[in-house]
Amino acid sequence: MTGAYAGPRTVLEVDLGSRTWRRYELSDADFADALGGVGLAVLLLDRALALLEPGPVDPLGPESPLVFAAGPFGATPVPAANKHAIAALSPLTGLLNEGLSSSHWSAQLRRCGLAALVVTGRASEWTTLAIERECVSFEDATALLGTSARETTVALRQRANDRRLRVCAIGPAGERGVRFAAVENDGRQAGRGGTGAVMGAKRLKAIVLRGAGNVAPADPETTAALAAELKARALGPKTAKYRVLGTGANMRVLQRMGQLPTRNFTAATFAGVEAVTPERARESRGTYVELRSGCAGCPVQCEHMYVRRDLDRKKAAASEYESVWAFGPNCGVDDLDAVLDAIERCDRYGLDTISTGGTIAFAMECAERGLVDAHAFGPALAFGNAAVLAPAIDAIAARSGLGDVLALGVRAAAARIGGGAEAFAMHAKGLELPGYEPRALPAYALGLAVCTRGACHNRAATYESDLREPGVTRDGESLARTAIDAEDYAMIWDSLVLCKFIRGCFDDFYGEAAALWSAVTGLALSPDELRASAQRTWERKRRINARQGWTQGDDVLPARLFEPLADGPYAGVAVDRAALENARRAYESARAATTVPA
Amino acid sequence: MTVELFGMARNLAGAAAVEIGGESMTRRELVRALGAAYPALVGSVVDLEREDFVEPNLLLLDGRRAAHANDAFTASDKPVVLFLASGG
Repeated sequence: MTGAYAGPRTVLEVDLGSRTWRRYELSDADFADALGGVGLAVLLLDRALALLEPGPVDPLGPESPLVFAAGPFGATPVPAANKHAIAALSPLTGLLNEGLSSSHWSAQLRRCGLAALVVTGRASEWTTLAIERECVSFEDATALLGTSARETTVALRQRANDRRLRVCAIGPAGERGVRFAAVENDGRQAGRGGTGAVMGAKRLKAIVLRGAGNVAPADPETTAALAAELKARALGPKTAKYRVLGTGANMRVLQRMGQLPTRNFTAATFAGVEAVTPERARESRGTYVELRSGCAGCPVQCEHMYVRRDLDRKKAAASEYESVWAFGPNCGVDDLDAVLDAIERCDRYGLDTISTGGTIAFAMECAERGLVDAHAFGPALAFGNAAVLAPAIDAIAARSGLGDVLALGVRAAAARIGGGAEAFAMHAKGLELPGYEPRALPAYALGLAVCTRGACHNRAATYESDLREPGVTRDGESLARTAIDAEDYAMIWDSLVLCKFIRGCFDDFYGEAAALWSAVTGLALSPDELRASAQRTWERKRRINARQGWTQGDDVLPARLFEPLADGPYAGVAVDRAALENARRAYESARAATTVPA
Repeated sequence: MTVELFGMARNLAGAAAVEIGGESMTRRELVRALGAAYPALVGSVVDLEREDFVEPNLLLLDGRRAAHANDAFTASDKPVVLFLASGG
């Protein structure tokens, strides 16, 4: 390692309880060790937890740290890189949760001269934390209660008479401690794992950034050349499916492959899929308006939003695959209007769409089995009933009636409901499953089981190898290698932080990423050192989870996945319990064998 | 034979399925045939120089078996051009 890290290296630590703060600088070694983004956020969370008494920390307790860490390429010419990570303990899983968000707020963090922000304590009253250059201030947020993140942003900008103010905020769900509440900035969400509830538990409604600092790469010419090349590739065919179609196009593909989880994972094909695919909305332009958006500094602009032509355009909903899947096939709903309304409603309340849809699908099955009141939300809580989505989401966000139980997530809700509900609570370590069918995807099944975050398809992106060569039988060691490679690859992307939607734009990712890192930061790292960073971050994640009480016995999948699929080309296929355990052991052995010094 | 199309292939060809001549063909041959019949696919979905699909597009038989470059398949294998689902 040579040179000196060129980007902002300051960490701002804020204690909301005492309204005090301090700044300190990270060393070159810290950046070489953890890179930025998720790696840095996990490093800082690990260090913050180490200062506390041994033993598990309540994710919603005042001492629970909340870490925001900028991507090291933010506010530079590197495309698709204005991103930041959030790390905290998850109220859903009780374990580590790290999420990503992006756009202007991410870049602004670095323009404020910050590499990271660590928030601890609990404010005595609802607070907005404002950061401008060297100034930190605490403003009363009581008047903002009940507003969405977007409304909060508008109000804070009006109050400051500054339209360029960058705001990260929670909605009503985060205020009320819904365990899968999201944090939003610039219309982007760090959705999974309940970070919004952590922020709410601190009575922190919003974080406002106003920075004007210049962030210069160590080698501006090389950075500009590499960034221009990457941007050109990002406008080519490798990202066309995101630019032109959006991720909602996954729906038809997974249906054709017989891998579309349906009605709480009781089926893998959905007869009503065509009615809810976002392509249908695009093809019927007479009915819907398509709006496009994306993150600051990203040439892909992947967001495809739809709204009925007769509605206010502010009601436009993002048609991300996971969101449409969660309220469409997973709830058995074939009404696109209801699905788009559900997504927009979640964004307004500040709810993670995957967990909200998964929780409602779980409740539908509970109702059909007579375990909960089928009319708890008015319209019948039944698969396929589009009319129940809106009142169910409203009740979850308000934490009223059955909604208060569902606001805990499926694992805790199943324990509360009883009657064997845990058997069809679709989660791993408490985090609800995303929209890929693990019974048809063996490497993905292992990835979900061992993932430190719980059931996250973005950290355990092993489904790519399964989808590329479906039906290929592989032994435990091969599956373990695939899972580790996918985790490490994702960890590097999430630490640099680059949007994974441009992952096809690299020919030699580790080599090219190392060159980009060196040009921007001035620190020379080899591709092998990048990989070593991923292993170190994984070890920190495991250490945090172990502190919270995790054991290898928690690396399991929901019982339903060991039962054979009932339909589609994979009918009769189930996760093989012995094969999964064999692969999990191989994973542990391989991870242990590659331990690297910090 | 009938070839089902998804994603960008469907978008650019303007059809959910296309008829491509030949009782039996390999992946390479299908790439050439698709490029000749639907020039809009060239560069975005098929790479005629490499005689292969442009990532993330790929060919699966009946949506669940990989088709290797020189393996022959027939209409009964139900060739499907789709893409690697990911993200979002």
